[in-house]
Amino acid sequence: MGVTLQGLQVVDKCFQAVFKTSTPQEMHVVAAAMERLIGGGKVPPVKGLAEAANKLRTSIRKFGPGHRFKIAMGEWERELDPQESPQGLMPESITTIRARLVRIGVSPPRARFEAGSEVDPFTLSITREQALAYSRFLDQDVDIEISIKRGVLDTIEDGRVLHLYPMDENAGPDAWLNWLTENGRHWNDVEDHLKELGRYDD
Amino acid sequence: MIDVSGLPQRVMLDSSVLTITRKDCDHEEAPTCRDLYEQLLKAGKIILLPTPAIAEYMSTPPHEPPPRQRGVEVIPFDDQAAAILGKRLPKRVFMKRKEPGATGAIVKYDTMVVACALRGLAGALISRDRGQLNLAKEVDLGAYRPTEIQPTQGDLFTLRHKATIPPIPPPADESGR
Repeated sequence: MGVTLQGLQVVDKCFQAVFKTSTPQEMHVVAAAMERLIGGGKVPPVKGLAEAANKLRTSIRKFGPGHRFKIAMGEWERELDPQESPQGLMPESITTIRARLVRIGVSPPRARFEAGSEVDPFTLSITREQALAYSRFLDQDVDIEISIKRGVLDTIEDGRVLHLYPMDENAGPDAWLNWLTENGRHWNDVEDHLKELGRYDD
Repeated sequence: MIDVSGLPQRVMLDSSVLTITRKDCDHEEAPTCRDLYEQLLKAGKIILLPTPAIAEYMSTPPHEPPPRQRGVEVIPFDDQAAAILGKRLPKRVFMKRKEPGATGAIVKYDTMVVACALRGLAGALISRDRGQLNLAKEVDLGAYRPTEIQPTQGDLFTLRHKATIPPIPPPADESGR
């Protein structure tokens, strides 16, 4: 399931934003989720939805007070109420996640990633040196340490790549199993693992 | 052999599972946990490991740095996970210390693991801790013991996963028009 913003236009003195879903069957679900998102509500992750809703919310807020907006699909309509950001601030934070490097641009140097732990793809700044060094990891999974700013819908909106760590070349399917075995021998001396983990304390 | 075809694409394993997934573990559920690990990777699914669970696992040194392996993803307890924990499990964050004379409270690891599962967009959490499984269900996360995952229950997992899709809006004649 996914949604993309196709474009903005003026029709019959009205501002119109056009969205496209992956399949026609998803239109109802996406329209309802979009209405809830713009109203400050939470919805299950739908690829591209947060990014599309963010763009639409930004666009319609530029009209200022005194305007009414509706989301419509055929005869189904809902009034839109673009809420203020509940967070107010966009703090910068550092984290490390697994992601696939899908694109590198050089002017300005930017890297685009897709991550299973993020609803939408995201683009981050890199240096020219990083762009040259990272190009050999295109279409590969990597771990990235990143400094990021999130938007009102918790999607990554800006930031930069601090470090990129490729997968271990010698790590086969058993790598983690071997690590658990080699580094967890002390657990052999534990009779009740749940008790050792403090899982009976509450 | 476990049939994981009905499990979601991204599955988190708790420390209660990791501690008996070791190759030399003779716990009665250890073969099931090792089979689960192998079948998930064979099926192309992503195994998620929460950093609090790795901390629990590495509580006794010495230990090597964990590997960076395709198909196995470490999910950080970062600011996003902390915000999720505070918002989704506000009454479960702290546990008061029980020692005589103790003051203050401690953040519970099992709640942090559930927050990591939500932060990592996991479709399910696999754990041997009944309390933690209940916690996961509180936030509408699929929650299963390793021994529950049997070939005959594949459809059950599929149905539970589908339940997370948002409802379809009512037709026009019910919307006041």
